[in-house]
Amino acid sequence: MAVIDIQGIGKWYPGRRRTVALEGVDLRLAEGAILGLLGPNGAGKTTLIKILSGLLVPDTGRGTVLGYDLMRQARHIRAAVSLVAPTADVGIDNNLTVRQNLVFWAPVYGLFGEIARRRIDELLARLGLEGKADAWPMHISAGQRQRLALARSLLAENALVFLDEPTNKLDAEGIRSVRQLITDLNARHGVTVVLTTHVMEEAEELCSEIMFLAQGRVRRHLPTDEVLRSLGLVRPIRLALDSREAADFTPPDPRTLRGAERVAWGPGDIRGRVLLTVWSRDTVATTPELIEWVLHQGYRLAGMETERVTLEDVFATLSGAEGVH
Amino acid sequence: MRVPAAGEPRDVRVHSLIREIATLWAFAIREYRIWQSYRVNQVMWMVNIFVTTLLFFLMGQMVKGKAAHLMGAAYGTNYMSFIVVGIAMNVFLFTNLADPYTRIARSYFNGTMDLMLLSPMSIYTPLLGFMTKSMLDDYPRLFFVGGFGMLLFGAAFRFQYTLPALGFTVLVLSSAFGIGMISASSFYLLNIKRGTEPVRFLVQQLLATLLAGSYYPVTVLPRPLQWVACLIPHTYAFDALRRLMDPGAHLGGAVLPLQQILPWPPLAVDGAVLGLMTLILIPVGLLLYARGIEKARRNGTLTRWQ
Amino acid sequence: MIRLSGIGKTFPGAELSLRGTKLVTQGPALWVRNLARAVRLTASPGAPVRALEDVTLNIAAGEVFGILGPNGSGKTTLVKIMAGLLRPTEGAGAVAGVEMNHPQAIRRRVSYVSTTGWMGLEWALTAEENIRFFGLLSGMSGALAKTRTDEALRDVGLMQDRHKAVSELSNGMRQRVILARALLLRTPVVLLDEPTVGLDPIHRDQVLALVRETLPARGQTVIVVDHQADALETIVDRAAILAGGRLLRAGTPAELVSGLEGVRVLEMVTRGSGEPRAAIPPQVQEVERIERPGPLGLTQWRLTVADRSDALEAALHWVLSGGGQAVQVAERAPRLADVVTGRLRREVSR
Repeated sequence: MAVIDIQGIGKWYPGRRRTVALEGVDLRLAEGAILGLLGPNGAGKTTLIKILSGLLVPDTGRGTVLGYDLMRQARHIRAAVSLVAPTADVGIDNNLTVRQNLVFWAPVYGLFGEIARRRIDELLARLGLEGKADAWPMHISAGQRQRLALARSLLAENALVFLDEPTNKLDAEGIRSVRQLITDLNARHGVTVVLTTHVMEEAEELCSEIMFLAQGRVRRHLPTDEVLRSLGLVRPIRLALDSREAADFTPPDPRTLRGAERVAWGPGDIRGRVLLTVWSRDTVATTPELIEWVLHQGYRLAGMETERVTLEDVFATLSGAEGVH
Repeated sequence: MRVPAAGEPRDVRVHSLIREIATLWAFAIREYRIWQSYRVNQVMWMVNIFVTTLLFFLMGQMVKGKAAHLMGAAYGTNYMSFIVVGIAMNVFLFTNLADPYTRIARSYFNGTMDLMLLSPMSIYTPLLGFMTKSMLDDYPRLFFVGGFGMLLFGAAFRFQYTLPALGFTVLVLSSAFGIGMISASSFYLLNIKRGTEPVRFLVQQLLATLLAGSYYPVTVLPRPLQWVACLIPHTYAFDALRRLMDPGAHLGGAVLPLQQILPWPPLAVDGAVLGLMTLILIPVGLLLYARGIEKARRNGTLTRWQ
Repeated sequence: MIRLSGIGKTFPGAELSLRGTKLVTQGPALWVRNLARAVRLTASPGAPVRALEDVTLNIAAGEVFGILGPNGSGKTTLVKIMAGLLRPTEGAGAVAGVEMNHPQAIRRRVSYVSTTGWMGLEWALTAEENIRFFGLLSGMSGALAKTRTDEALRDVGLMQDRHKAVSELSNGMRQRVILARALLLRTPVVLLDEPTVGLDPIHRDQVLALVRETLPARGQTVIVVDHQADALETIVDRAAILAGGRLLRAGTPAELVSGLEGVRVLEMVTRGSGEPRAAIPPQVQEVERIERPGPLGLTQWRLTVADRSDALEAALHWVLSGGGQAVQVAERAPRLADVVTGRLRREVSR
């Protein structure tokens, strides 16, 4: 069954001008998915997460989250989901140590005594905070605070987790550990994740499906690899091959390479190399086949660069076309 | 970690009572840890109470003769006792009335409220939970104010009516908390995120400070103002507790305008009004607070996270 | 424009807390109560923290200067010192011709934008009002404040949303509001602490262009702090790399990666590959392998290889000896990010 199942969700913000925050959003999310919500600032990502977590009443539409009715059972939804917002680390009590912060929340999620203690120890260890258990929150780094906020929200073993820019303030090490944690939660515990990020590489790495929003509307909602192909963009794969005689060179037939559109080649630099460019709709499929072709032909691969369609391209195409300023 | 199937929503209320009580206990422990973590806190706390009592003792010395005359017959003759009851009750009333809004506002701006709203705890639990701080910090002041007053400054009390006095204290606490909740709900309902909260301002800063008679009996006020004073619980709390605790005070003899009009004994009037206020204000407070949360949920102002 | 010599900063461990001050209407007792709360001290002073050590830097007028380094390397501390917001524990220096010991005068000559700190916006006012009123408060005439505000809003791409109240804006938009506010005064020095964090790719590029072109064209000196070196590399004239509170190196991006001649970086993404089974070839000098968690089952490789024509193929054979496919291959010259994130730092700091 779907963890999230909503239809026609819309929200207008009151104000000097009635502005559309969301319009006609449908979403069916299966258990175990990792959904990336992408879009320019102000596209409605945060609004959608707020609605899905029971913090905001939509003006139109209906649906369920974890089986609870979005309109009538928001209180149950709020109780049953985890959410880590960019302000989550602000909610940490500076008057309590790292461990005491977690101890406070344990009974809220029905964890008592030994069970609570073990779960807190486990979370501290998993998030690399065991050395900081007795430190005061103002004496730990921003990244550690972010991980404490994550640990807090994971005390409850909720089946649905919302993460709004979870790696925003972290350095490379912190980013890696948080991404690993998200994958583990999903793979080992079957947790369904909805996340927003401005780092396209992160979305590509973590998400099984992508929903792209712009100006409050859904522009694309597809599995991650399909979203990359959906634009029909063609990208080059460039190779430099050592070949004894440039004149002898026979390029590959584009029809034999998956995703390839056309090839171009010519003599290269003074070292007598051949520069081969293969244009492809699907470089992920073409690249390995092309490498195999090169090695099979006995050319020496001296240089190579795959240009690939990334979510950054998707981002630029989908938000650019709609006139984002 | 199981997704509930359609048609069988996991009822979070099943174990909720035990969990809410445990959560309140966690609040108490948290407040205690915070209170305890400040090294000089306990000493300053004691010094503060002592200085407060000393201050009113000195004022009492100054106006001793006049005060006895103004106090009238009902509240006995010891101005120090009179003032100690005033201070002590004020601590209760102030805490229960003004703290809910302050604490809700602070935890909103701390971001803690976001986390609490997104958890299984009831929306009312934080309100009650924050009050555990009052139980640790503010309520015990009462005993020290009384203790210092008696030991050092010549205040005296009688303890033959301790049980009724306790009963009245409970009514005072609950009616003030009712107003406190109404005041707290304006944070969401009126979207008053900073500045002066009107309910609290009206009741505590304006009416109570001027009219309730913490330091003088309401009889010194002009008649119309005495009637206004009858609108807030403070007036009845001071009246009842002074009649019960102060040496030489009388249980009979109407002082407040309402007591003069109604054919009941004065304490019965106090009890009835405080009881009625509790019965009305607490449900109104609960209702408005829940309404406020719902309104904020529609406007998108529920969380600090925007 | 900025001269620092031997700057160091140590933070004491104890912190003064002004927690929980509340108004008590109990006559004069009010003061006593507030006093009691004001002098509370936390019970657990931590150890002093050495945030910066012996930093010497010179930044010329009109330069775009980057400060790079991992979290906790002292970047923000250094910028706050330049902004006159922190007093260094040791060392001397001058910002815009003003000596360190006149922080008031320094603050008049710099604009400081921190996207991670307190924004100081009036939430009930619109984006445009927030900026314009800031100009008026800083002593601008109404007309000037208006033109400058429009310019600043255009610079950060907020023209369309300028009449929205701050409370209606998204986080990224608010961030651009404070950026616009800092552009208003045209101070000689502009300090930007992580200006692109949380911005979507389009607005990120817009802000980077602003830093690269618009501000220097107005004669302003810009100092940008970021932990993402790739973005900074393209916009700075020079940069400093901080690590553990120390200045590792400063110079142009080209100078910073110099010392890495004879080396190429090979970045690969493979699918379904395991641990390589073959022996590591001599052309491969350094290997970084990152399992990219996620549904695609990708592994990311970053190899430092010798600048030789047979290196790519040898490396490719080695990586694929554990099975799997290479879905992306890019062979390139070393970049600033390779130095900053420590991958090649060993070479550089030698």
